[in-house]
Amino acid sequence: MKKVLFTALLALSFNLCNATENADLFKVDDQEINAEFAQLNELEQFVEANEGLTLSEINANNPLLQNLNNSSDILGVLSTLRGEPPLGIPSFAWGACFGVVGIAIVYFVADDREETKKALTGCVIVEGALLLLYVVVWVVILGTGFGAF
Amino acid sequence: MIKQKLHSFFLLLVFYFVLPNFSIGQHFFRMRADFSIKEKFNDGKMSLTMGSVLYDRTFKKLVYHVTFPEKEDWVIVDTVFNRIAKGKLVTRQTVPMLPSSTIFEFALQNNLNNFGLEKSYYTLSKVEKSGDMVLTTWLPDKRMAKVTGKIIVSKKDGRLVGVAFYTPKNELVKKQIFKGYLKVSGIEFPSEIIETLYKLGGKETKISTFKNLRINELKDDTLYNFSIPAK
Repeated sequence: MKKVLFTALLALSFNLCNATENADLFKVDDQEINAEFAQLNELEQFVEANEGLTLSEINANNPLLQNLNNSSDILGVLSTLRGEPPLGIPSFAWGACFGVVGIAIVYFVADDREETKKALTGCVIVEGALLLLYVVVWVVILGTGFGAF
Repeated sequence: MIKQKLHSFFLLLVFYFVLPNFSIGQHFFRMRADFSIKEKFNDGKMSLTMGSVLYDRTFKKLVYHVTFPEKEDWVIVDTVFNRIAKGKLVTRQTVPMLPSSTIFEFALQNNLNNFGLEKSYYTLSKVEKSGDMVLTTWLPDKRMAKVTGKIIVSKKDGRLVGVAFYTPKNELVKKQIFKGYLKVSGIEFPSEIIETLYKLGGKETKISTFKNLRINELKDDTLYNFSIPAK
């Protein structure tokens, strides 16, 4: 009995430690972030104060432009917005490769009728091609077999 | 007397079955916000992108009207990203996202608090409480477990606070913190998202800020349904 109780308490304390550790994961040091982004914050304010200003219109010697990329990291921008799409694989490929399971994944993840249709099209085309191949193989086999007689 | 009772019963039935159909529920179909994205890379480089972002559930287009560093428009339709500068299509590429799987869609569906995971190939595995935070652990479908790991979602007062993404080997790859919620017309949207990427070369941080949130705006249809010019 004592052993069971001890194990249960150990498991509970482990879970509590784990939960605390996970909660700490979402804590942010605002001061550290502000210090790290001081230059970019200042540049943002400068651009806001001068509406319509583009990078090429700012003097290249302006210290605010130090270490600044002259283009946007598009994929980086998009990655923040993304929830969990079907791994970015086109819906057609989902249906073509995973069949009904692929269609189901697209249906539930994308929640989009058009995307599901594409997955269905992929599934139908590949399954149709496989069926055709199956028929052709059997015709060839049977043809060869009858030819032997 | 019986007739009166029958009449009351009939009225009760009518209220019971018909009223829910007239329940007050607003359909949120589009949103727009001014944004800025500040990034610091592990090679010491930085980037700043500013402009406004528009999303319409009917047109299924996510439109970025970028004003800085240079004036250009980005339109994401399906999984295709289109970059338009000076009225001409400059780039077209496939991107790993669908406009209907973004935080904009989740916010309009009032489903942001679970980061859309309820309708994904992830299943809820564990719920823990730590102080005032509720932490949920989501595990991928067996078929996906080889390529992606668990996701931990943290909520406070029913609002999404953070999301942490792991590899199948349980290594933290990315975390996002959602702060300072804006509330407009019943829609809640974070005014700041702090994202940390854990890469081999070190961690990288990105801060996205949103302001001037507009919901169900009935003007500027041409902006929400941005026409992509020919290349």
